[in-house]
Amino acid sequence: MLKNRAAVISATWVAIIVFAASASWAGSPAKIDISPPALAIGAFFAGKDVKIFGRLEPGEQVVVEIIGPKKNAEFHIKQRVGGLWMNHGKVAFEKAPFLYVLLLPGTSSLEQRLEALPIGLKNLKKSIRLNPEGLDQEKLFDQFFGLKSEQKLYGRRPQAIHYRKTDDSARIYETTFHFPASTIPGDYQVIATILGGNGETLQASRTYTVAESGMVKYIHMLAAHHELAYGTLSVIIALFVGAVIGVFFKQSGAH
Amino acid sequence: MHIYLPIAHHSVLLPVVIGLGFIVGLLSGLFGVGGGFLMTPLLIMIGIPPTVAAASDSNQIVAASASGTYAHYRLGNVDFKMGIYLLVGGILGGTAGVQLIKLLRQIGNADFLIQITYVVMLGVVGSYMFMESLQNLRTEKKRKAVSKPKKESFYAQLITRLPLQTRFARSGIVLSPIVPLFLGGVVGVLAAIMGVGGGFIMVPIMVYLLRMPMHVVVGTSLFQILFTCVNVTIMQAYSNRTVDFILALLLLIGSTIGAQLGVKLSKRLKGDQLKILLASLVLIVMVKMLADLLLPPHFILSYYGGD
Repeated sequence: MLKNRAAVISATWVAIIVFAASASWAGSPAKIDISPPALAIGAFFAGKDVKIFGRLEPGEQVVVEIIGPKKNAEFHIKQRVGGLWMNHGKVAFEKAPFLYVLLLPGTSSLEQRLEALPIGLKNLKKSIRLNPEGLDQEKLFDQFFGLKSEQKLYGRRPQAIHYRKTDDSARIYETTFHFPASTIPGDYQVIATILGGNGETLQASRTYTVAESGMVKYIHMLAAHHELAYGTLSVIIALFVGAVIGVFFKQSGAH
Repeated sequence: MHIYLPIAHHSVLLPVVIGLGFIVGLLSGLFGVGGGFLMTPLLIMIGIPPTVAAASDSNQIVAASASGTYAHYRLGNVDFKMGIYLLVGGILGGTAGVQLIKLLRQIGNADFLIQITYVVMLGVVGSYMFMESLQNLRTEKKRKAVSKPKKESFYAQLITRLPLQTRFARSGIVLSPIVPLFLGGVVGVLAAIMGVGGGFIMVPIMVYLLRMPMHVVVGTSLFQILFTCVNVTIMQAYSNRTVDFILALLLLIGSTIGAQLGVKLSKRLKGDQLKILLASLVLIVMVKMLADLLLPPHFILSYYGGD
């Protein structure tokens, strides 16, 4: 009887421990997680900090890429003609991501391993096509990356990833990325490349949705699908505001 | 406080945009120019894509010029008859200008021609206006004492010989409608080629070639700009979807107030004082454009359309 009771109690404890362990595992972050889970662009959006985090096994390091929606970026090319700088020809960077940021930890020992991986601005060049072909690719890519970097849309951010230990000897990585005020709606790819202690690599990715909401969404839809009504309405409101302020000044001038 | 612009896809600081609107509105009320040549580069500087900046600026000029036209109308400074002739000429010239620029682009080096024309014209108009107004201000007293009748120029003789001579009561001149129709057309062609509203070209033309009084020039120019910008706003919204209504609304809050104050300020200044201020502004823009042409750019790439 006593033996049976002891067996029941032991089994109950085992079940509790297993449950607690599994609950703790389920609650811990996966290889990549993002908070908040989606980004809404409302009327007062001024950019937003987004936290990217995940769980690493002992000895693992991580780098994170954030890649924006791909679109064609068209530019005038300035050249010196007769001693004057002016637009002379055009170039399109086809399927260039709107945003590309590589977030790195502070470990300098990673640099060699990163060189061998298909990530970073060097690798990005391979996925972008210049139109027309036959232009000075090296120079134009330098200019394009420089221009995007100045807008804080492209870049490499060292010491952006931080690690902290968990109770079970694993580690959590964390990084915060500020989506700038010029963020466009669309699906952004967030990719964590995990570098194992024995030279192995693993990638985990998430699609991060940035969407317009409320008044911003409504105005965008009106402008995109009812162009004539939108244009006419814009003019009517402008005339109305102009007239109201005109009348207001007339009245205030009369006093 | 930030506001997100749904078409520009950019967040802006509220006081900055309203302040920009106010400054440009003040110039609009003061000189009768739309201010597009000043506002568009300023908007690009705060991160607005060029096409959205130009189209939304047209929308806000509708409000500023409506407000300014109304204020000048109350002061009796709008010559509607002259304004309509110039407007008709401007629409015809603008349509021809769009075709001309297509042809120039096919031939090649169109941008070269446009930029050189821009700098030369701004330089000539600005310098002439500045020197003439300065001279007038200096010799005002002398001219009152010794008023010799001036010998009529070839241009003056030519326009008096044209048929259909009509009286433009508000401007106090007699002129053939062919003159404002032709000059409106020339400004329309230049405005289409340069991609601007043309106010800063139209004002000197009204003063020197149509011989209109400066205060009537400002009101009539604003009247003409109002209709041009209504057309541009609707066309841009329909064809390119580049009008950011929220941006325009913020700009026009500042610009309409600025325009009213500009009109009040213009009443306190003499015609020559107004001309010398406008000439200075035109020359500053010319110097900036010349510097852009001569100095190596920070980046050889500049956005074409979109962002």
